[in-house]
Amino acid sequence: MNKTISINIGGRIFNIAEEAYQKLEKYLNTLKVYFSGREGGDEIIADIEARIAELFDERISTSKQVITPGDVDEIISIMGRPEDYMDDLDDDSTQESAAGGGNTSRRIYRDPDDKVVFGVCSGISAYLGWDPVILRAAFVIALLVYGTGPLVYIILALIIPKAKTTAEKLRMRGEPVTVESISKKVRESFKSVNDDVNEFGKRHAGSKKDLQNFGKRLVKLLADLFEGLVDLLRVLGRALGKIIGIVFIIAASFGLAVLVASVFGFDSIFVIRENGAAVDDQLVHWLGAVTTDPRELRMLFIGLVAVVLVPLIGILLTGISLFTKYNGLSGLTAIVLLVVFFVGVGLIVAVGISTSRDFATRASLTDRITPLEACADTLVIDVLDLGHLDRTWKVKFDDARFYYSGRTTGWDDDTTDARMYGENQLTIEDGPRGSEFQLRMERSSRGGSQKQALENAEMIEGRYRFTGDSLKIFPYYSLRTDAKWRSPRLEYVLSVPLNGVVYFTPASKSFIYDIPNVTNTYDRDMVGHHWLMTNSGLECTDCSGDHDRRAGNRD
Amino acid sequence: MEYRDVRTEVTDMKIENSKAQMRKGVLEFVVLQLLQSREMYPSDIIESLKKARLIVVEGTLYPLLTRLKNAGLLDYRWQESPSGPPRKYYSLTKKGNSFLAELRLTWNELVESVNETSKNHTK
Repeated sequence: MNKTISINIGGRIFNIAEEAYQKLEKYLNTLKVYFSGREGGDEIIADIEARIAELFDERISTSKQVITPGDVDEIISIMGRPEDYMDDLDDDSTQESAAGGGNTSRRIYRDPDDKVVFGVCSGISAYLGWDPVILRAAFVIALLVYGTGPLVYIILALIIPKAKTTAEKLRMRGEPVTVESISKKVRESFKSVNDDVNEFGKRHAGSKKDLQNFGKRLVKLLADLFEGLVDLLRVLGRALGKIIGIVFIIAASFGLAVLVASVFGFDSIFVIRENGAAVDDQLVHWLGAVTTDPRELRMLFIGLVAVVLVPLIGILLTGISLFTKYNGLSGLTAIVLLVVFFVGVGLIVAVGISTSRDFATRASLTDRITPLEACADTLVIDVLDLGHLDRTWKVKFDDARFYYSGRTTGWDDDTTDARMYGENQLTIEDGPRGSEFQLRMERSSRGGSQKQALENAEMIEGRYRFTGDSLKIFPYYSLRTDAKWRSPRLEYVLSVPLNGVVYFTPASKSFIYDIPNVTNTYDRDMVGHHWLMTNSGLECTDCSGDHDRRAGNRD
Repeated sequence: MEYRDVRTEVTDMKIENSKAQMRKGVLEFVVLQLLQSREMYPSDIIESLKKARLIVVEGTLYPLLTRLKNAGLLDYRWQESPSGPPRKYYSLTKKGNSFLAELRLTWNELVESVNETSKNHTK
């Protein structure tokens, strides 16, 4: 008794012996490899199959109903192997349509067998005969160069076709595409699998049966469990998917609304002036702190919008896909979004690199402010109130807090132009004996060079006012929006002579910083008290016990 | 005697390849010629070619037919067969006809020139 297999070839059904089937399959696969990628390859295969069916038919009768291995051998010798074909034997005489023939010209394909992402690097390397590691490293390094690496990679992955057939794989390496070389390649890959299987079989020969039975049961059990779990998850998932979908849609819509508002302002159109200063209350305005170059400003703006927009659109489409049956996030959309995203990253990185050079060095300017002759023995330190400061944004940035305001009133020119604000500080040092109160204003900023840094520092504006016996300091320094934000700092240093007294009003808490005193009292506890400058430092003259908290760990 | 000398010289240039090249050119010509007189389906063509000892294996024919069809020299139609599924009957197109006429001309010229040169040489 022999097992037969029923096959459908050329639209007819035959019963074929198992061994014969394997032979036939192998033969047809050889042909498929040979004709693949060739114009009309499928048609040729279909024609050949039809003919084989005819030949089978001739060999079938009522007394012999099964195709034997001998029949298949006979048919193979009639039909011939690709090596025996006369057509497209050589390259020089075959013209146009013989693109898939036997020539050895190389083509670039993506290599699916040796890939990290899409096999672009290994494919190109195979074409050039390089080690793929070189190209991979190059792409990773290109990531640092304005993020162009991934972009170029994605474009290449889209352009370069994947090597699907063995013929294409050989051509990728530039090996001549002959049936022998293809067979060799196919045999190589089969052999390695075969060896593994044989090896395994030998090792477990004794316990094979038991193992198989046990294995089968285990697999069945696991499959049942898994199926049940999948069913449960499917039901839960469908409900959860809808909910997540709605959440995604709402979140993304909200994000898009915020993005649109910050791009266009709430009531104006986006304009960048030639000098880089922008108008009104927009995202672009804020970006002026990073760069004032109009070109970079534009790059940064587009980059930021792209980087924010893409995830929002991604979330929105995912939400829509989850909520409805419509698949919004198709392959092409995803690729386009990815490309846009990486372009955005690239633009931001480009501006970032150019901007980071502006942080190379720091320089500071010291303005000595006239001795405070008029003031009495006691100097009251207070906040200068310039009116309402509308804190539109508040960003912690480079150890200074950064406020941006589009609407400030009270700055001395009473301007409504946008300004950037940072917090300034006041500290106290002991002045020389018998001298006066003295105020120093130390402005510093970073820049590409000392000169630039000084220029940037000069843009920093601070406001203070003496009124009789008080020093009022505005807690924020300010920069116009056409100034660059290069980590500016403004520190007031008040020099208090021996026996001089300072009084901190409670409001001054916002800017006094790390004021040394003999009792190591925290700044926040120093306000509301009078402090006398002694030989060893500031001493509280009116602190009651409970206020005189000591901080042992404080210098 | 001289014939032998020529042969040994030629073997260095892969005689099989040259033969195949020749046969290949002729095969195309013969197939077109066969189809000029009547429509045929591949098995008919194979039969004739085998009789003429022009092909060894049948597999050669199918890529050739497809190539000629794609070049617009041949066309086919499906026709029911008495046994089994429908068959592809090939016929010559107009373009194929003029192509064949030209080939025939070239063939005659070739035969003439080959005869001519071989006469001169073997003398």
